[in-house]
Amino acid sequence: MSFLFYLRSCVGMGSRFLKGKFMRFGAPFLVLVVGGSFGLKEFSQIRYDFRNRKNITKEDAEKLGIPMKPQAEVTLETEYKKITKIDTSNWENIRGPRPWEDGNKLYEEAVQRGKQNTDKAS
Amino acid sequence: MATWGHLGFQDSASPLMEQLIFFHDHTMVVLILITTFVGYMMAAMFPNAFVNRFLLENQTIEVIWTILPAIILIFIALPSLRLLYLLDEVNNPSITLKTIGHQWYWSYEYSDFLQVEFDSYMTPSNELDLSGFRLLDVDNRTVLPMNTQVRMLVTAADVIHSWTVPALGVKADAIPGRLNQISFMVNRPGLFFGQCSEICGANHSFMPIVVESVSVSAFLNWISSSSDL
Repeated sequence: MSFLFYLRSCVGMGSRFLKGKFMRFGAPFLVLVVGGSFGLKEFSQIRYDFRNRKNITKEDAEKLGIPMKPQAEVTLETEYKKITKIDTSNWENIRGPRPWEDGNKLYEEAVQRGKQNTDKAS
Repeated sequence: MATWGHLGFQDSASPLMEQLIFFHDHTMVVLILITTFVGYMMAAMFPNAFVNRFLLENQTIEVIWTILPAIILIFIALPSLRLLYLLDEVNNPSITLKTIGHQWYWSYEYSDFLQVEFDSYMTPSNELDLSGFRLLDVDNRTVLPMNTQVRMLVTAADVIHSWTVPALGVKADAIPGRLNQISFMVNRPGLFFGQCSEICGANHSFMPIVVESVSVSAFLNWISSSSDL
């Protein structure tokens, strides 16, 4: 008998809760905020879809006869290994020309080398 | 590109640079508002001969001019944080380009393709034709495809240089023994210029960067012609 009274009061509590301030204002607000962020994802996803599309794939390049390395072969780590082989310690300090100075040999040689390379490229 | 009498930023060629310019314009509006307001207050006091004998401890105005600046700062901080996170977004680059700074030229290597490497020297002024850009034109331009995410790896072979293209909103120091990575996307075709941005010796001002943005098909044609050489 007392168990029935307990059940009745539980049901009463439940129905009061469903009519209370939280269910009328709080819960819809939270559903709007959280659910809305999931809904907005559909709109903002377009930026990531556009930027992450692969414009130049290996297959496109192969069709034009251009050999291209697979994606996994060109990473930050692999390129770093390559640049560690560059000798960065043996460079000459080529002093810049002073206005009163004529014939700074090292500087003139560097300019000539630059000119030669430009001529070679063209 | 930058021209004589250029006051603001160069026109953007990348979505991130566009956002940077918008943020700059937004913050500039706020700053001009504040400056005008304060300037007017000061100017209005000059012709004013009245004296307020009861000017002491007005709590209301104190609260107002504490809260209002905080609100203005929030209006600046929110777009700033948005942009900060936007710049750090992880994306999937389609191609990788490595550039090595030397004294005094840049060398480029298209890492995804085989044997596409070249040096880029500034065109000397006495060899420049009439339509050329002095101190900005180079012999071999860096060709990049449009609307494609590019991963740029920057390093140097001797001293510290810095690779930058203002129109794309990118700048990265080229440090010997270190590989720096930047990511960008060019959203319009054209020529975009930059100059070495870290003092590297006598010809530091004479090693420019030129990015030529073309369609994907034109880029692939250029790759095939470059790798044949």
